[in-house]
Amino acid sequence: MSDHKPSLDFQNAAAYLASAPSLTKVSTVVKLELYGAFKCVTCSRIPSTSRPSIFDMTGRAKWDAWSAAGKKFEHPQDAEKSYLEMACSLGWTPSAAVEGNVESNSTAEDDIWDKDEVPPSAGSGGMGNAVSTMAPGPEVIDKTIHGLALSNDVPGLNTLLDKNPDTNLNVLDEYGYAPIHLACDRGNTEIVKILLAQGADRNIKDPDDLSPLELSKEAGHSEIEALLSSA
Amino acid sequence: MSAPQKQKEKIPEIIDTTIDADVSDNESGSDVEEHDQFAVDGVTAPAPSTSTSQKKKKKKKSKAKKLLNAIRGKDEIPQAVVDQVLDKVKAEGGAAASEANAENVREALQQMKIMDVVKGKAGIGGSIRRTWENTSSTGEGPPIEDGYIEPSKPRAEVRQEPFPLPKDFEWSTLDISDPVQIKEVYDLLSLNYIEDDQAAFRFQYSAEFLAWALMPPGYHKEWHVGVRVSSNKKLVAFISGIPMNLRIRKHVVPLVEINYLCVHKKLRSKRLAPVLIKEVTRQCHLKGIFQAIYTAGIVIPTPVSVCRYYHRLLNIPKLVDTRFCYVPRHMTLARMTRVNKVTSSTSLPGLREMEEKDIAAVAELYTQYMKRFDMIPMFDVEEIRHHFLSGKGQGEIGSGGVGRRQKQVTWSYVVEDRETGKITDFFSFYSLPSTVIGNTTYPLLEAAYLYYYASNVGLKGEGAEQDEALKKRLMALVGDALVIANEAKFDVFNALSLMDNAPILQDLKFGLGDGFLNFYLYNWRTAPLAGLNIEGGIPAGRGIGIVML
Repeated sequence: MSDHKPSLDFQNAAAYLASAPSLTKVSTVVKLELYGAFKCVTCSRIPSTSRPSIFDMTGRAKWDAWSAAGKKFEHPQDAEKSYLEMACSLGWTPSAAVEGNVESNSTAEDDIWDKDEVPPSAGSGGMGNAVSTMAPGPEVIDKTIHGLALSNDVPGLNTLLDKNPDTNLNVLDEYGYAPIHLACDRGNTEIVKILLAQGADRNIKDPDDLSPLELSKEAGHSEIEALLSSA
Repeated sequence: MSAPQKQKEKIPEIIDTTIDADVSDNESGSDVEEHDQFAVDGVTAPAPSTSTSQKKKKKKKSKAKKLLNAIRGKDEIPQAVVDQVLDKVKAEGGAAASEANAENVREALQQMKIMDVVKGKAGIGGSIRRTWENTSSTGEGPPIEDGYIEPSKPRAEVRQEPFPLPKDFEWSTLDISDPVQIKEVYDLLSLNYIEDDQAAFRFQYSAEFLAWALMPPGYHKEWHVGVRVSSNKKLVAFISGIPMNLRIRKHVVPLVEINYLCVHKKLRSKRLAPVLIKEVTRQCHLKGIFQAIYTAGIVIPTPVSVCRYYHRLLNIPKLVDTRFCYVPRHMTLARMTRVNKVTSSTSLPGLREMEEKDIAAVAELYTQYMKRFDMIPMFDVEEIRHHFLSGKGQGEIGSGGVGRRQKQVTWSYVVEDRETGKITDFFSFYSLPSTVIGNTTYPLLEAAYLYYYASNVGLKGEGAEQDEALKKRLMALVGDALVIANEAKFDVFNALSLMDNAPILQDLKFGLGDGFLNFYLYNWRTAPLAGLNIEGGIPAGRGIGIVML
């Protein structure tokens, strides 16, 4: 930590830049310059750590920027001045930012916490055990009537039926399921509605001798259950 | 898979002007070498002992460099890496070989977060690597002989004062026997601990579980290290160690098992994790302990072993609704439920719950049986009591829900020979639920995890004959564990590909998980242990005889 106490203006400018919309359009070079100056003001003239590895591209770029700023500015005051100039060019004005500052100063303790916009690093990446779920099967893009029923692709199904009005709605796939079986099992209500409206067989049995109604019941899709129960 | 990838691509663009730089980030050594080593141990997975010849090393290095360049171009796993792994898997054979194809290899690599590792920013793991890298288990080159990497220090030479924390924070030793403090740890972990890749599930260790896991016989309260906000004393970070005598091949090493490293989600930019690791390490040094074992879902240089999770689905509708699993293309939920139906009664005559009087017999059986594996915790009678009986809960079975006592953490059963009265087998499993993030119908996933087991069938005969007999016995034993877990309304039964699990999991209808568990040793050198893979002729799983909680 340097002994330099950043000015109120500096804190305002930093607060402004942290959420400034103009910053999204700024090049990385400028952002790095800002970062370097910021670190000179708030931490120390040069980084006390060794240079991050080449695989940590962001960390390395930031470290370099800080180190470069340390060479450029002899005193934190110089860095601060440069930072404020850059902030001005990005739309910050000393007076305008004061409002934003009021809330951040009033609750000093909030400064401890990360901002909400900062996404927490993936919760999974850590020591300890791993939360595992079933490995999903390979994702298959299937534009047949069965594939569309499975993936709940309503526009796709409509297009298919528009283009091929003679499509057999009760055709069985290689495992013996009709489209309505799959839609009822997976809970794709809209697909079931279309199939029924187009005249699909609502009593067709699957290889386990189960009807669409029984499948939806077992899978707990009450909306489809109601749909099939109403004659 | 696509969302995190997108995020990663964006990272170089985001330059945060407010976040503190990492004060304790001391990178050392050559990264290319590190990567090279990783490519050897992690991706292509031969024992490090193959990399001795200078020529070979050079070749590998240039290969690694080529791969690296390919990797850095885009965020996908390069075909070359996939091909190499695929070749290796096929060449090594084993159960996985027949199922291996470019697609699932790519997927597995993605899941192992290889890109994160390569870039050195694998979350908290990155800090573990940086903090402990000089003493990672397999180290540079081939382990010549098992042993420590850095010698132990006398107590007087150990740093006496705690490591500095960022301003506004202070150290706090947690007294886990105090219900208030254990509740604080529970609250911290249940909101901020490990999640799956999709952030759909987060471990929810219960207070009883934590008490059980953190206070084994001989525990040190100084190893329960917390960080609090100075102003309001809120607990915001935690790490723990428990003492253990671990046999690693032929050495018994008194060491610490490090676990439950957790930093509040909104303080991840403060880089507290490396300081926590250093502080708990210091506390261990003060007690004369200089070796550690720990696990992580992520790959950091260099694991001694990797195991994979397997899941036996029990409550299918709930598991599908919470997206723990999906209905496969060739099935319906109705059929899936039928296929996975568990019988309502156990199969082994003489099976009963373990009692106080069984402790000596179970301890003896455990000790004999565990000789089968390369790395195991040595349990004395007191530890057997703790690990298998102290978590049985209060009251009668059923008082804590169907098939459960109140606050029950562990389920331990023995098989008593009806004629001789001898204990011939035992098994145990523990309850570790997960929060289902954002699901109001099913807020909690009830998961049982296979813990330790043993059978005297594993002590008789040898070779293929013993393997066959033991497999049959363990099928019955773990099959009965499934029945009991199902009765107790667990939704899923999980196991890792360690100990003797590998041969029985498929037949018991366990399915492949997307999670891996990497085992690491700190300051102890040993050759890779058989986990997912066969190592040095040891069958898959048989290298690892320790279950981390």
